[in-house]
Amino acid sequence: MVLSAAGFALALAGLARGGPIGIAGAVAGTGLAYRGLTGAGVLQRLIDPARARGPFPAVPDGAPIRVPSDGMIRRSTTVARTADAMDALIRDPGAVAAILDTSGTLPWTADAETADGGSLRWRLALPLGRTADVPLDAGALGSSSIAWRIADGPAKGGTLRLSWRERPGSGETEVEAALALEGDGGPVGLGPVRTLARAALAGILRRVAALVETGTIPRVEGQTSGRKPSGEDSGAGERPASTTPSIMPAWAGSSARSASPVATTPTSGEEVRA
Amino acid sequence: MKALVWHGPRDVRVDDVPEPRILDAGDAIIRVTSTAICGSDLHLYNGYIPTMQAGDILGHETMGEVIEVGDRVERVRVGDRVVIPFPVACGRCPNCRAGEWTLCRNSNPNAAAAEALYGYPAAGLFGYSHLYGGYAGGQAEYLRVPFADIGCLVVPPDLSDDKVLFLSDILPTGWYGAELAESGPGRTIAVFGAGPVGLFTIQSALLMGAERVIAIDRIPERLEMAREMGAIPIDDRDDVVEALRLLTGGRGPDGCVDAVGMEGHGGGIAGFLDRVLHVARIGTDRPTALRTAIQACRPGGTVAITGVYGGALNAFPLGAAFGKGLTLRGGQTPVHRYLRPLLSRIQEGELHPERVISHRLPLSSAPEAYRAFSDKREGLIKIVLDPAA
Repeated sequence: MVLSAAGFALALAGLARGGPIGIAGAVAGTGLAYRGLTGAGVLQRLIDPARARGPFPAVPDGAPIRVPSDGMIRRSTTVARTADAMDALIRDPGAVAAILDTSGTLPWTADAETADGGSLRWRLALPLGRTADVPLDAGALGSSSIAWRIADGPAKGGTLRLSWRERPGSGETEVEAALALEGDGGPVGLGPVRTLARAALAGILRRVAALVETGTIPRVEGQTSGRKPSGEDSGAGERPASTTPSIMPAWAGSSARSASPVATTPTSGEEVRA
Repeated sequence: MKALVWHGPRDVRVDDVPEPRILDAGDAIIRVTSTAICGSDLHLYNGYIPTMQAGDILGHETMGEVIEVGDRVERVRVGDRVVIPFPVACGRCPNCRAGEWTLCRNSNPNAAAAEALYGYPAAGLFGYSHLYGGYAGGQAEYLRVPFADIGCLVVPPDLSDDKVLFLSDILPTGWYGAELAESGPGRTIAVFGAGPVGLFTIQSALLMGAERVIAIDRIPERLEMAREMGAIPIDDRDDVVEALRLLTGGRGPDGCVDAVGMEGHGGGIAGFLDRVLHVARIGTDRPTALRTAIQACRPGGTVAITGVYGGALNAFPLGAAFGKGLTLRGGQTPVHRYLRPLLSRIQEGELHPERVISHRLPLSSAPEAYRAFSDKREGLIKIVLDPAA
């Protein structure tokens, strides 16, 4: 606190004095105040990146817990199904395409299309009517994992990996999505891509969870509304023929039905006390 | 079909819109026989819930007859008479399995926006903004019900719509508030807001054995109904904290329930500031009732929040809550948890939800009904709409 007060005083004095010496004093004072408030100096942070992230780097004998900074972008979730169900899901090409379809989770729409040879292609609809394709290879299945390599473009060589591990005795499975970016990301660099990739991974995991737990992905596209003609929401005045959902693989039908007999009205009177 | 469509703040109209259709094999379509206007619909009507879009269909208190089901629907059949809980829940995710149905993580198609705002997404809700999934609501002739096996409560034919409609939201919400406030023998419960949810909280707390229930509101007909149900009424324009102190021998209520939510009517500087911030859309919520509840609650007591809040609060007395060691609890009601037990209580004659109905109107009257309800005119307590009238 004393250090902060001294820093502020020096900064104010420097600003009041003006000139090169005054500015130097202001900078030094600001640095002192910063150190007093955070427990770490700017230079120290530059020299020791390990202290650059933690909010309380001055905690004695304790390294702050940090998000891994190995260049990977990671998100994880836990699904209420076994690892076997995840294995079955990932072997279904239709489910995989649905999982990678990140529409609605990004500022753009991204449709995953199955291309020749089982490979996939992300088609990104960018602003101003532009599109960009991100081709993915067919996906390499491993033990409780699958990885796709970006086959071309500015991010060529990058890898998207899904891996899962059953929590012993719980019937639940932890699923992680990780994206390793390679290349320079083209003219915009990889920075914006990283930010957007986090949202994309979150969307991918939501779709994994929805599909493996319920056999479907919730949607409102195509539902009725009072919006007029342009969007998908609109429709004709009479009841249209019912549609068959595109995602209805065999594994979802049988396994989802047999999982967890949650009743329509699932609780008994004992749960409400009186 | 006819549906009540949101066009902007205080602008709702009954429009012709396309009928809903099955979009997923787990869906059902119902012909709506009764639908109600909820107090929380007024937050949408007045434009205080973000992510509403012109063209959205309102309504989350709905029941009707099943007229079509998808291929994967197993427990509900065409012809069943069903009540639709307002949260959309998958029934299979960890949160649903834990009974936290309003935290379903698979039912919100717009989960990314909710996650950005709240850290984690919650369930989709019928007719309650795109933050909660953007599902079309039930103030219409027909409604699409996703996850229909979970989202339809089949009700027996001998119970009228009026008796079971409120299982969709406000009856379980009233019960939930009383439960969160730990209503029970020897305890005094103060219920802030004697609208339908508050009235059901009063009934529930008394059924749970609360020694005394106190109702705080300013609308005479609501206070009168609260009194008829067994509560002690207090006009909220009085010094509520002092009145509660007097009524409890200086101890303060053991539990307080905020059944008002984000559009509280407050006086004084804080109330004025709330209004300015609210109108300017700088602040999202006016927590008048919550502030008073925290102030009034006895040290070590519990404050339960069942009124809807959307964003951030101005001048929230966290110091008082901390200093008195209060427990704060709340959230959207996991309605599915309470459906069958409360249906049983209705069948046994312990609960009479239909008593709160003050008006029955055709769907075509909904715009005027919203205006009057929002302005607290014409003795409106609870409005039930009939799409077929």
